[in-house]
Amino acid sequence: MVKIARALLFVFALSCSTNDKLPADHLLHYTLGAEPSSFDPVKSENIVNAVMQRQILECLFEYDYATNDAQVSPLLATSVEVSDDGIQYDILLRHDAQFFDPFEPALFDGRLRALNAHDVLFCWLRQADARLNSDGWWAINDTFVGIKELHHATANPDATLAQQAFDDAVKNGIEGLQVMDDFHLRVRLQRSDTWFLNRLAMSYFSVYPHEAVESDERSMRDQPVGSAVFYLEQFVPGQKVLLTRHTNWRGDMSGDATGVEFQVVRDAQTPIEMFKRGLSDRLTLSANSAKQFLNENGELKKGLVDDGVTVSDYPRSDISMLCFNMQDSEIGHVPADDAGNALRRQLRHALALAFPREQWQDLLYQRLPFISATSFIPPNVGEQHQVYPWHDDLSQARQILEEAGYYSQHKLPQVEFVLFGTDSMSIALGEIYSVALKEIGVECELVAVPYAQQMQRAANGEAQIFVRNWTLDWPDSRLIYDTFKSDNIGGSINLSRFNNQPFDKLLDKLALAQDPTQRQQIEAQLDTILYTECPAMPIEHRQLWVLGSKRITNFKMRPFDLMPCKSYILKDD
Amino acid sequence: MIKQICKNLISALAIIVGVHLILFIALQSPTFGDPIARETQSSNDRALLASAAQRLGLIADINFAAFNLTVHANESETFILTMDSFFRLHHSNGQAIIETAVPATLGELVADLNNNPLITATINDGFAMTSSDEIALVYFGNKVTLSAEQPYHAAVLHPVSSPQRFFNSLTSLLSFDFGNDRNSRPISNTLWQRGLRSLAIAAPSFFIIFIGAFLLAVSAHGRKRLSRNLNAAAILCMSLPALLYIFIIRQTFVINLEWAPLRPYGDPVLPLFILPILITVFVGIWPEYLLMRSFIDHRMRKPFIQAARAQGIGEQRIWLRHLLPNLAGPLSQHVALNLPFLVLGSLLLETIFNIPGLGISIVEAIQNHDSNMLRAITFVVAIAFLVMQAAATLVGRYFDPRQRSEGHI
Amino acid sequence: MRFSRLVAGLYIAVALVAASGAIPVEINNDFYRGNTSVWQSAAHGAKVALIIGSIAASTALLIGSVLGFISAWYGGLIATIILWMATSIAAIPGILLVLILSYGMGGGISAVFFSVGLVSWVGVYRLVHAEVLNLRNQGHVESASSLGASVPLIAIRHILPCLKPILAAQFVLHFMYAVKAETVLSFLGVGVHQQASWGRMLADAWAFGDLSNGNYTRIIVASLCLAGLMLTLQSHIYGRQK
Repeated sequence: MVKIARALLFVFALSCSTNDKLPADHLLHYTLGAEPSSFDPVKSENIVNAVMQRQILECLFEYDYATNDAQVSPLLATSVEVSDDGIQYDILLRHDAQFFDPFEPALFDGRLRALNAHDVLFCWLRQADARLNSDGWWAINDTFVGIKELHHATANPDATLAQQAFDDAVKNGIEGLQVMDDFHLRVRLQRSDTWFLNRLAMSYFSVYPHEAVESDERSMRDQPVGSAVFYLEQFVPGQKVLLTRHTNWRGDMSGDATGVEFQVVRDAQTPIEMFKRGLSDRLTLSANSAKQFLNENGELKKGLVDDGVTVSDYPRSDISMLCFNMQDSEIGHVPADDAGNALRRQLRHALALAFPREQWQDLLYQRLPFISATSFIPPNVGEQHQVYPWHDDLSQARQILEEAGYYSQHKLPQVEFVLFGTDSMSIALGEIYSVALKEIGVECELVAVPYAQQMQRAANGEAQIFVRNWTLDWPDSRLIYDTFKSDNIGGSINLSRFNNQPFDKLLDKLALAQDPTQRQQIEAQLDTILYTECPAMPIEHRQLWVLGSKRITNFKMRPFDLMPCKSYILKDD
Repeated sequence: MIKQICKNLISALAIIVGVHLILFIALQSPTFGDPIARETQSSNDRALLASAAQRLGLIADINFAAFNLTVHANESETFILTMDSFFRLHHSNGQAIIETAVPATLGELVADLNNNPLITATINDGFAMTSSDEIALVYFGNKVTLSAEQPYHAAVLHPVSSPQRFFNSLTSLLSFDFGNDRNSRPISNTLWQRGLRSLAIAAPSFFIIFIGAFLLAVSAHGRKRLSRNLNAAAILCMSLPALLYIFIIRQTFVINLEWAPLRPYGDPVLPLFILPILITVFVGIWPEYLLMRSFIDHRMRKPFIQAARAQGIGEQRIWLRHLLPNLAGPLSQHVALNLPFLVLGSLLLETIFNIPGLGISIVEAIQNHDSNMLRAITFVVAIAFLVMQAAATLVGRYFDPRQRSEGHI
Repeated sequence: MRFSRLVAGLYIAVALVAASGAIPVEINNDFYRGNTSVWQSAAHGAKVALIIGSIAASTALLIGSVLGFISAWYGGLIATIILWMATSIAAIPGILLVLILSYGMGGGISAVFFSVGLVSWVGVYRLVHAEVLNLRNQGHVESASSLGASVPLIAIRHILPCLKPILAAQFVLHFMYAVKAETVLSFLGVGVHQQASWGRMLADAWAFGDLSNGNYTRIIVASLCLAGLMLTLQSHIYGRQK
């Protein structure tokens, strides 16, 4: 017995001899919560996919690591000329960008091929190919003239005709996207868009060679070919992704990482411990892990600062809002029932005022910072917005209900609050609101469902009250107002199912407005409608706080680019 | 002999069919809820629903745009098309244009639509109806808003009957064609690797548990105090949840003391297995010890042991020549019957220690709503069980001559 | 034995109080930091554990004993079919099948006890089948049968009393299995959703990094509650065996 115990201890001791430290290989080490499902930009909705694709593929524009603003700078493009009406863009491409193919069978002789405007055309048109059901169709469908017609043509049930339409478009371009020469693209938009170049910085608009897609023996899904500084060296599904720096890259990369290793770690605890032990170079702080790294004031603990750990705020353009289903008969807008609608409007105001913001935010974020929202528009988006008095006030809520006659003449409905998870945190958050509503006499039933189901119920119009988040892909306030546009009812955008003609008309006007003052005026009117009708209430603008290890000497986060791996400068011991 | 083998094979096949029936009912039939809704988390994304249905074998083929539905009306009007067991076309003001039970054939549907002056339906050129089973579905009850004058493409799906689905699914499993996972990657590729990783933890653990439990039981036999203490320890340890051991041991040895590696799975892999093996041994040894004790005690009370003692045979010889040969049969059967369950791996250990084995695959399959993966893993384990059961019978017969006669249980 | 009965009574009392709503699930900002609501969750967990354990064990007993009786009494094709079902279920590891069934039913408390019940009946069936085969040839059963008593009457009046000790032991065993299964299912996300349970407490302890934050209360309380119940039940089995 004792011998066995000794043997077990010996075996155990063997494992202790393993060195848990990272080798000094100038490699960035990250953890991922899930493996990428595809490296093909037609499947880029998934954030993990988008981050991976960004390391291997390049777009025409990117967010500059050196500056902390929302302006894009040229990457594959060198210059842009925009017409006076903002409709036509002439984009010139750099001549030295090359695709590198590390896989077998090789697509190009010498594994290298120069990138040209025809590749850009192919990749962008592919996002419009209806047969692929691309994640990026929403980003491209209102851009180039003729793109909708191409989408329709590729939806032809006759496979031959559909392919022919696509081939013709690739060969000859479409009216809104033309190849003028190998390094010159001409774009004509359906209408002018201040943020068009920002749109082009999204991973949907990445550029890759058509051979990678057309080859029978390979797929862009698992064997991506791009022009970026990193290429995919190894992908073990469920375990890791290893990107290696291309040694003969064109050489204007500011960072010096030899590669990036992403390891799939599905639980939430191990990445925290790995970061503490120096096995990972990046950690996104959560409410639970924040207390291990931040002090009571929300600052990085001194010991960590002395160790060289840095914390950076990811200036995410985000809004978290409490939504009401405007098509619900008890709290929403019923056509041709003006009196009832006036009452229900007051009810929504009361429900919004009863929302216990401080308690909610304290529980959800704990030591993590956030920005309590007084407007739907995040502070880093566009011009200064008129701020409306969104706040929580139970006595004011009671007063509104009393004045509306809810305590005397009309019966208060029992409402249903659909939670965004079945874990204890979500239930606790729901209970907070339920308890507050009870204080104003409203019975609230909590429905705990997983996040995806909550979104589906809301999209199907089956959720009465719920909280949803909306993160912008570029800093355009229109993207937030679009979540209240009636055209977007039925999908995942307008979940509160708000249908207001004046609002829609103003939004169309905003799309055409170029002058900042005019835009500001229209936005103020839009905000007024939203405040008055109260289809939703802004709660907070979520922030992402990320820790960088001491190995990264210049760690910071940049807008709309979660992992700017090529820009980090490493210092190995 | 051949008759017996055939009988066993038929019996094994019957069990495979039974296992598959259970999986079919649980995962691919609407017994516990709509499998497509479960797979897609109640999405109303048409392409997602259709691909989920195809993956589940509910439909054989999808023609994404079999016919155009064009609505002739004023610009400002919108029409809402829904289809579940009814085909409904409503105006946005609620007025019903058409409400009809889903027609059996595409032709009937188009005729129904064309009878209404407000809408036109055309079958696209190149689409040929090949059988009367084809019906037009707008992706299982999805609501679609039609604008005036803009054609909407409605899909045609070729449904597969339940018996056909059952048969297709069974034959593909029997040929070890497990299909693709949610990310469209073949399941077979990784299943075997993951099984080996789970086995790399489970097999040594089981071996150590078996030997350790046996030695504990032997040591405790005849020693009242030790026996009492071990029994109490066993009952206490079995009462506490395995998760507690995993949490505490991991926190102590991996996080606090840093005696065991923290890194995710990767070379060198052996050190990563040590702690999971030790935890498995600690958790699993107690019920095995109690079982061994009962085996030994039960046989020690048998008359042949008493007779051997009465004849003056020494304890050591009794153990080696009389007890162990009698234990060999049931013990080896017990081992053989438990081995296939080792392939499954420990779901909890693999989840917490991030080891990509079969156990964590099951957890991922549940989180990703991947029925194909669940079916594949369950099937593999069931096959392993049957093989081991057959081996256990053979082993039992080898060690126990009483079981060699025909007609024995 | 008396002590174990006392403890069992305590669990039942706490569960009843929790079920009556007298113990609210306290929500405050100390939900994760403080210890106050841990005890309240533990009380609710007792309620959930007793519900799951008793319904799962009852389901297993009901299905297993009915099918065991039918197959032993009538034999023939029906016995073969039931044996085939039982062997097929037994070919799949219990926890895997419980997981699949629970997932198929969408998770939640009812999914847990039904899935455990639908898996556990096999053990009861085997025992009841063997025992009924034995009892069928006993004098009192044969004479009742020859006097023309109906099969249900024989089953309830003459066979069931003899099965009571087996069924009682099986009830306790499957009760324990169901409570343990709930912890695994809740940890993996297909167990109890909207209510506090011991499994949820353990799952939350992991998800919210209790150990990393130096907070052992939730884990220790949930584990002790589970262990207390298991020990009580086990001593009940051993007490009976003595």
